[in-house]
Amino acid sequence: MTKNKIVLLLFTIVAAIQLSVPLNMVWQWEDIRQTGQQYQWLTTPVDPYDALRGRYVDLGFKAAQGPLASGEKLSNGQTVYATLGVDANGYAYISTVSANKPETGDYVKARALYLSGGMMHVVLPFNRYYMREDLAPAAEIAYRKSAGKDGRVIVRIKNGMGVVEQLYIGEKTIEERINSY
Amino acid sequence: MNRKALAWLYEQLPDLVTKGVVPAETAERIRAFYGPLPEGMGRRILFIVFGLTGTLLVGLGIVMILGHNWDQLSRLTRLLISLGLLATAQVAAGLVLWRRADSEAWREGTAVFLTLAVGTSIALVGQTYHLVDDFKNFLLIWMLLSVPLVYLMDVKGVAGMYLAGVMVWLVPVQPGGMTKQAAWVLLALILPYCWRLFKTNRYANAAVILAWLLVLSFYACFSLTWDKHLWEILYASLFSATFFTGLLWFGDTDKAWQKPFQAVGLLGGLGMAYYLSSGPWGGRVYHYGLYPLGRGEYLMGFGLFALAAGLAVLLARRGLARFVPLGALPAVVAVGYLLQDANNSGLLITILMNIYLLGISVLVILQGVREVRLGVLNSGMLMLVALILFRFFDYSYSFIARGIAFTLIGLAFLAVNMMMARRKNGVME
Repeated sequence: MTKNKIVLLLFTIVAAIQLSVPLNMVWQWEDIRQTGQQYQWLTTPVDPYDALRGRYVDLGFKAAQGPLASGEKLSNGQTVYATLGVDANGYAYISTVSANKPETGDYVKARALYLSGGMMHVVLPFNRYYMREDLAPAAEIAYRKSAGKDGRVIVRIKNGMGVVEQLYIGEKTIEERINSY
Repeated sequence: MNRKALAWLYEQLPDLVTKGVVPAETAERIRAFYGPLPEGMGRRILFIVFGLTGTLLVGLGIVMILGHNWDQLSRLTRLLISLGLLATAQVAAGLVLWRRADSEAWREGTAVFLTLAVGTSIALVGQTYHLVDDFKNFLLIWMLLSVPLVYLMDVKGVAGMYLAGVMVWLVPVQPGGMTKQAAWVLLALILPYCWRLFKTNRYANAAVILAWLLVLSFYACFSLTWDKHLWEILYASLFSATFFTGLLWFGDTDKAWQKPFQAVGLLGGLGMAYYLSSGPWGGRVYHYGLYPLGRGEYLMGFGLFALAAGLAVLLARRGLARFVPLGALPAVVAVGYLLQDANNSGLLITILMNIYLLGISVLVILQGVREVRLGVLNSGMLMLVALILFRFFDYSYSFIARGIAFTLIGLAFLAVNMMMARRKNGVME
């Protein structure tokens, strides 16, 4: 085999690896979107100074904390597993926070924030909603007005990971809401 | 032989022949020996630069046009665009490798385009699924997926992007933990390519830019992976070794910007010396007592010190001993450590550091005078003035102490001046 042929062969292998990375991402996240369990999360306002990022809306969740599993000690920043439940109104909440993966039920891999009154506050891994750059600021304002009232996020959960499907303000999606202004 | 010199020679030859300095036959033989004037570098570089800029603009333009109505596209369309962009770039680069592998401009252009496409497609897929971007991870994956192109396509543009990416990647890495040592692996991945480039022509523009990036990312790596213990000797030795390396292997040029090793090594060392010369050093030196021997920092300190010393010996052998004092900071720091052990107020070593700076300033001035080089003379004057100003406004010493020191040193200068004037007069008579 000539040197040029070897280079071409190696290049093909490298190209295949390069393509496999985004393809694998698509595969993984599309699977969660298709077969993951749907959860509805109520939103809360986020720190406005931190929120205006331009390309996306920063999301905050009302139920971003849960009781710490008995006998466990967690340190700040540690990866934790939040077991999920659904309340009487159909909204998601965290039933326990633990350092160990639960054996049954849906869970989310999250980051421990702080403990207060036996409740572990966590950072959920799905806290962004990407939008067009020129729409994101308007969306941000709409989100802030509705957060804590009728803003909710639909998230698909599978194997500890979650992917945001849609952001709703009242009955309308955020895109419909902005276009109706 | 460089093109300019050859062009000058060929311009002179006819004149030399007509004036009878060189016989026509010899002129012909000179021409035959050197061959035709090599084609100008200018056009080739222009071709590459325009090619690179063009591909970059086209790539960014496409992304912006697509981004314009991105949210109206279905998920499938977005994914097809993201992956299609990458696949197109790969096909383009592959075709160039297959058909036009000899054209540097095509290789550089398509490789940069492909590198951008890799990053863009990963970012676009992430955005489609509203993923919280872990920038550090994203950058790492992007760089690792791009670095093979440097070798397969022999491209400098991607090598530069890779080094810049590694430097940005290093910034958010917290010192501590295992990830920090991975920085060295990342740096090592590009070293063979830089080595090859330096071996062929280390003063070519691309090689010089890569050398700058290499030196800077090396220091970024080092500062993250070594703790603060013994930093004085570690950095002093490293700056000296960098400076000496530059003098030994990157010194055959007059242009300052082509000397990244000298610039970083010298300025880093001087900056450190000025910093250590102010205020009592005692508060700054970490004085933990003796560690058990064999601790990493000690070994590293000894190792780097030995490296700098070895390079200094090499310099002296090559007749460049006059530069050694400028890189003698590690030796001064080592003496400083010993003094610190005897008297840990830090006063002695601060004085020592001031003497060192005064000494090398005077040396540089003398060298400037001897070689009649105004630039060197002025640099020495600048170093001296900086030292004087720093000390004048240094409030860690009383007015009396500073006043006496200034007066004594000033008198010494005047005395030396008088002696030199007398000697000169003696010679004139």
